Amino acid sequence: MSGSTARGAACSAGWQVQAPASARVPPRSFKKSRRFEPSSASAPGGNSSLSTGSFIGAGRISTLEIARCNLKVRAPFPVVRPERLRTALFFLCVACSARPLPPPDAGVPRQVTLTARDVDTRFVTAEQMMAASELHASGALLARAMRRELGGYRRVVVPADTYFDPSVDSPGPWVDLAGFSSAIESYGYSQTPVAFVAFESGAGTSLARSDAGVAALGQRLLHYGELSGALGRYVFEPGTWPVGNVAGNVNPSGQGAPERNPLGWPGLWPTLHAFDSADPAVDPVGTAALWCSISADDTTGGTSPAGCADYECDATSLHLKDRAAQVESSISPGADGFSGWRYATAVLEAQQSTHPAPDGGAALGPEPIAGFRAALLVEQLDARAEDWLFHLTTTDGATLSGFASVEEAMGYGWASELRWFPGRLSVAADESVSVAGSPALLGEVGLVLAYATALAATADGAWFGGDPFSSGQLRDRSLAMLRVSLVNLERLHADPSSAALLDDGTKASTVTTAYAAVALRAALRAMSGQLRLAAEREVDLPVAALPLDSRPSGRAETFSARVKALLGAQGALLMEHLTTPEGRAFTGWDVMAQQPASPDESLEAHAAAVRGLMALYLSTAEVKYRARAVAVFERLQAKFYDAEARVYSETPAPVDSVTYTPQRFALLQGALREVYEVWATRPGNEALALELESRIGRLNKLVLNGWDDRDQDRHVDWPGECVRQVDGRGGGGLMLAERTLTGELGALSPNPVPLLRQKTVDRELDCVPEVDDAHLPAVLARRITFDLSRAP
Amino acid sequence: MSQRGGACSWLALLLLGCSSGPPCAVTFRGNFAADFEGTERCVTLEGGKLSASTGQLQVELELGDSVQPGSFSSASAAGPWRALWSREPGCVYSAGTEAVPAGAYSLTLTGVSPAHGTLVVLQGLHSILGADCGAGDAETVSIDF
Repeated sequence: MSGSTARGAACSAGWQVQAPASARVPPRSFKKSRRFEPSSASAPGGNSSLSTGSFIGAGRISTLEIARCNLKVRAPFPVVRPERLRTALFFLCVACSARPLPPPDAGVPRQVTLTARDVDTRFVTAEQMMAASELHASGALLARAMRRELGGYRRVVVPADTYFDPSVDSPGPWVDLAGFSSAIESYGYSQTPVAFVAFESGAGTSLARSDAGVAALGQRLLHYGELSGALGRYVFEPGTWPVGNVAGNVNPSGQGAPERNPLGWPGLWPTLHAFDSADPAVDPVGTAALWCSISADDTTGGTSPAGCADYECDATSLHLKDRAAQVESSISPGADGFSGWRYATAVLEAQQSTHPAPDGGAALGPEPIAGFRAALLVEQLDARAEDWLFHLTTTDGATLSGFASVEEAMGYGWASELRWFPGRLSVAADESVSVAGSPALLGEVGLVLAYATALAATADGAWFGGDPFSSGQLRDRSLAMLRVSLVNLERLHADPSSAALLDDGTKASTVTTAYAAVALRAALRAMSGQLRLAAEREVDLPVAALPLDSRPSGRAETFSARVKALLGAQGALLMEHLTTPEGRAFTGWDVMAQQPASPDESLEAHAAAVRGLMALYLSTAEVKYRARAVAVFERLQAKFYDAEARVYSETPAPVDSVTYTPQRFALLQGALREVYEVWATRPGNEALALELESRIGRLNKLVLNGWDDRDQDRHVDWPGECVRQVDGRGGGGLMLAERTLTGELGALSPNPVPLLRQKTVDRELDCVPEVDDAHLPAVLARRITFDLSRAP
Repeated sequence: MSQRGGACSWLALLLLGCSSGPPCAVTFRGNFAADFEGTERCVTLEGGKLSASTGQLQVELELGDSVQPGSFSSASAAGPWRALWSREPGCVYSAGTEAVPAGAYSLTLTGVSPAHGTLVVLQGLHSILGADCGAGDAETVSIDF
């Protein structure tokens, strides 16, 4: 070896240090490494000499490690014989290698296999719908932040995960786990639970309430169908089901029976209040007798509808099989609040575009179904607000009553007679309700999120200019819901000295504090006209005054000043007690004992702290919150990410098993998203952005879909790589099943004609089965546990 | 003084030796790992545009007018840039103003005529459908020139 290649020799020596590691690589990976060995013809340096051209298993030596070696070999001392230099640097690099290094994202040699067990399928509404809102924010919005063009994804194309990259340097369609799992799957998975609760399952009280109500509601839905372009395609005159419709619900041979269509959309089961939980078992009919085809809200105008199973056009078989036995007959601010949050974001989403109506005008929403459903969601949000304000409050914790008027509710203040929303209400068979629980902080937070977002939606003149909705009703009711909820957050739940919000009178939880910060920010943004989906990660403008400031608050401060003070108090709690400058997050703070509520380390606490601190930064523009969020995030990455298994664990890694719930997943996905959008997209953080994309893709695919890409080739080896197998197919992950919105058409072909449809159980082979095979709706499980099996 | 002068002479020789590396040394780390050394120059700087070309690796950076030695990065790029290369069996590494994900570069120019320095490019991996590109979604390419 010549002196001029001393550097190469040195690093050869460095690599040889790592050579034994290859012995630990499972045979398949080893083969893969060999396959990657470049020939002289295919080497990137085709006009160069290959000085040290062995391919190490990707990431086996980190960049930093090599850099340290290179620092030492950069000066080729000509007086030293290369062999001696090599030997010296060999030992030097051994010394370098002994230092702890950040794990490379390119993987590590040790193989960890993940399998899943103990899937609890119960649908817990508040938690599920909180997750749905996070999934929504981590959906198309995040994909856009990743600079993806949403038109580059086609949900009906197999294989899934393909990005038809329109950028100039694109090599053509490529496998984009981060982008597809965000733009299509996370987004789609945020929508299907809404359909389950609001439209299809019956897991809530009745929106129509009575036979007379059914008739009146049916007529309003008919009008929404007309305005959205769904009339004649999916929506028909109540009590009818025409044969031979031109598109959508074609019903070619009259198999759709009119008696299954009392409300205009066959099988529709619109709910008022969501039940707290339900066994979600359903028995969807996967036939294609209706020649049903639907489009999604990202295919504007419905120009490319996909043929699908009948349940997409007729929701009858999506009802709970035995509703009375399956539901927990209670409602709560939490279930209504967090579902309402997601309802309202769906309305905001639908308001972003219109599509051509049959008469040539503009129809509501990006396509008929989204427009129709968003109108129904407005109706539901409005009806809920009316019920909570005028019928479901209490002043004694035992009997129900209500505000006399929306004006009275908007004037509710700190000096008013205390009146609150009970934390839980029992629902009898006749749907009468009674108080069954004391006020719950997180539930109130949910209501703030719901009605802040609903208030933002009422600013759209096309929807709230008289037709279909009046300009003032939902706006005023949303303001009233915000006023009552925000005042009661402090009156019922705040520590008198610090205004920290307490879950049980003595302790503040990091999760609740974080969501309180998110909700208070949303309220300030909504009331000051700043709440827009596209501006979610933009720093807010200072709020000078709010619409309700003119009404006496009962305190020396105005209403808006008190809301800002409440937000600041949660910021102080997060900065001074719930996290440390080193990035440690505690699960809670005991205000009586003035110490952390628990010494335990928790993924959820870290993720929630990131979420809350980022909301505080965006609301106040105070960079101290962002800096602390980044510190907590870095500790989260260091403590809770298992690089071998490529999974985040609930307690510090390594672990033998990890359980995910909708809340844990949502908090983690939300934390990764916030750091990506607020921090990693800043110049200089590009490496972090790439790392986060990789981890978000892995998180979504593993935890939601139940796909463990064991050979890391970015392709599902189906069903072998599915972490849970049922009847020879993938059983899903936290996501129990899929339907058309995420590519599960029920048949390989997107053609709606039965003869051309070959039935499938998991069309895109992504490990998540179709709803009619899972006998479950497309919602999240209550929990799933992953076992980590490490190869010796 | 003479001793100090002698030491300085040795130091000068040493520094001279330090700068006499190969005309083009390329290091790949991340999804793909390898080192290459070229016998010819692989980076040129003309009219404010820096071009690196070695095998299938192509990098083009607009650095602006009157480029002087110093540090440059994608965070403060004067103009559009791109970096692209590929390897079998269908693994494309892309970064640049128009690329998704964008990636990044940092450039240290120690000389401009001819160009000397170090260029580090962070790229995202695009795995073509059906290709098995192995673990890791990012690639760091370092070019000493």
